[in-house]
Amino acid sequence: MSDNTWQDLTNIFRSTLDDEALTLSESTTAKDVSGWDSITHVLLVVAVEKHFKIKLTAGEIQKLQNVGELVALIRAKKSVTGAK
Amino acid sequence: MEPLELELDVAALVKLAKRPGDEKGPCIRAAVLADTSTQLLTTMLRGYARHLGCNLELFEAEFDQIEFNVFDPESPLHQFNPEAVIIYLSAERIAHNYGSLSAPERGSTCENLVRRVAGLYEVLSSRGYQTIFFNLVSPAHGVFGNFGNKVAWSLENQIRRFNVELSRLAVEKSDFNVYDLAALQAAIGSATLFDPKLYYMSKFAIAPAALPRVARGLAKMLTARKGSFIKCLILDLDNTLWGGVIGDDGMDRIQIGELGLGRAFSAFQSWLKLMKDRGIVLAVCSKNEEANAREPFLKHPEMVLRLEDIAVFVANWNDKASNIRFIKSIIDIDFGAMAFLDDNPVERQLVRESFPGMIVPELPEDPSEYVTFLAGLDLFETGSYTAQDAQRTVEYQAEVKRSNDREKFVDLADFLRSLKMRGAVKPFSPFNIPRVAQLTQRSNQFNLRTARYTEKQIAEIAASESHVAMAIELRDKYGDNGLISVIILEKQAETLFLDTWLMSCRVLGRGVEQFVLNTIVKKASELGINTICGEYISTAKNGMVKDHYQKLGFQPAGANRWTLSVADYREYPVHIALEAVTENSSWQAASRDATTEPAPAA
Repeated sequence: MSDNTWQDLTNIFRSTLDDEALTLSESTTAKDVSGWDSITHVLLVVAVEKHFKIKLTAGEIQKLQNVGELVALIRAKKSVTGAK
Repeated sequence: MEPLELELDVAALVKLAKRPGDEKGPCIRAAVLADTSTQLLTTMLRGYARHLGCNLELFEAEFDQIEFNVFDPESPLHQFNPEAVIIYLSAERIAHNYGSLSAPERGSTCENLVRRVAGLYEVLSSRGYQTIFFNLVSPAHGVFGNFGNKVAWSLENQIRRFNVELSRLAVEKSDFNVYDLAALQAAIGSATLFDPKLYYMSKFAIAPAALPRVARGLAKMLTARKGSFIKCLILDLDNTLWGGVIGDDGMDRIQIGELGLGRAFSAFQSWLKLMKDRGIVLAVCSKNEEANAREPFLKHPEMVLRLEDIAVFVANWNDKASNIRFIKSIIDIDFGAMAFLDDNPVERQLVRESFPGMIVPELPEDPSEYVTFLAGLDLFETGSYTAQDAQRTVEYQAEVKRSNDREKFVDLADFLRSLKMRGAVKPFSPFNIPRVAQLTQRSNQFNLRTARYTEKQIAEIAASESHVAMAIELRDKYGDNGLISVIILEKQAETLFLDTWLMSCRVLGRGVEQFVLNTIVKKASELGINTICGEYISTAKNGMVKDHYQKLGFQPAGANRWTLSVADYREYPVHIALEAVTENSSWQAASRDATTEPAPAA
């Protein structure tokens, strides 16, 4: 089953952080990315929810340790809602 | 300006906010103080101001430092010295603490908040800042359900009463303004406006998706005092003001009122009438036989708009672009201050391409949605409203008559003489201060220095010993043009400096400039001052007056300055008689007293 989550998420990060060269890995955290502050954090959450048509809870967001966990969370939510 | 769709995109606004400013655009200094997180709001506000072509210098207070910034005279806010201060007290903060309050404390929430707002306002107003207070949204606690309306200390009751008090202050105080967040909540709903997890996580009381709309409303409130707002609506007729095509369907089959889709069109006409009463001028631009187009306005019993509501009525078979140029020749305002409403996407695109500055909304297909769609575009902010605004349509109708009659005169001098123009030069007084202030805020083209003033500032100038102020009114045989020019002179050492010279473009080419200069020189002479000094400050919109002083015989005095010697001045001959009016007399009384005949032309 092909899945565009990584690519879509990378595009969202690139657009929100205004950095077309940005690459993400499983272990990437906010500390590793310049410009990822509390404001862009909110914009990322909003963009992810809008693009993947899912809702993340405050608890889920708080528990995320790195981008890899975010991807897993998105995939889990998508399969629940049946969204592509 | 980009198409309207761009306006509501978070990412686009964030990018725009980073762009450098435009030197020739108007500059606004504003401050934002709040008890929630405002970083994203201020970014959106910067982005939106950039989108409108304005340079916004924004001071953002530290989180929750409202009282400190306002009451401490040395605070960063006062050092920044803004023109406008935006204060956002959030309903969420109040709701958050509500449970911990005692019953009497809950019951005095509204009263305490009003006192808090009044206290902040007094200080800000005393320093000459305009204030913009957000009103409160309803957090829908639902503790009592609908019964909450019967409980004085319910959160909903306290919040609603507060909003009413805020409106009362806004009506009473000319420098007190309300940003209606409650209206936005009503329009888009709580679910869109508020995301609880973002509030608890990051103190965002407004969801990012809704912020562009807030930014737009605020930006338009700020720029409305800088001359940029809608002044004219150009209307198509068939399927825009009524259902059907008048030429084919005839009077009895077009849909207005109870026939077919008529109710939607009647509602639209009713809304347009409110716009006209507000001072926004309506013009008709339709491809029709003129007689057919006029008939419903004259005879259809269910039409809400009548001919007298339309300032300029154009119906013929010419292309709309030419007709719009004609309309602009009568209503001489920027294309950016005109909106074109037409149900036909092809016509809309043609107009958009012919006049890139003009506002051409993509009307929804269903006429039922016209009003809500247009109302939701935030097109109609203004910095002022005076009783004279309602007269504007009548004044333009007179202008159409003048314009048509001009065709009959071969010689301009003959035409001007035939107008029997009378000019009155009045000091600033409570009768004209609102209108004078409004004109300084609206006038962009014939404006030498584009100094914008609030009513308060105009009142101060009126009372000032070191200023001479003139409000010039013009009347002719067709009607009263009202206030058409404002002059503010400042006594500086041995000269009289022209702080403000602005004129309505409607009276170009009639000798008003010469009439005004004759008056200024006479005043200077009375004061024993020999030199009058003028300055031209170039903006994106006032290119038409760059040679104004040169044309009037001033001498260049370096760096956009010009001087005139009173001793060497020869009065210009004009076809405008000077009325002998005192400050409080009406035009009727004046016309009985008038004795001056127009001076002969050179």
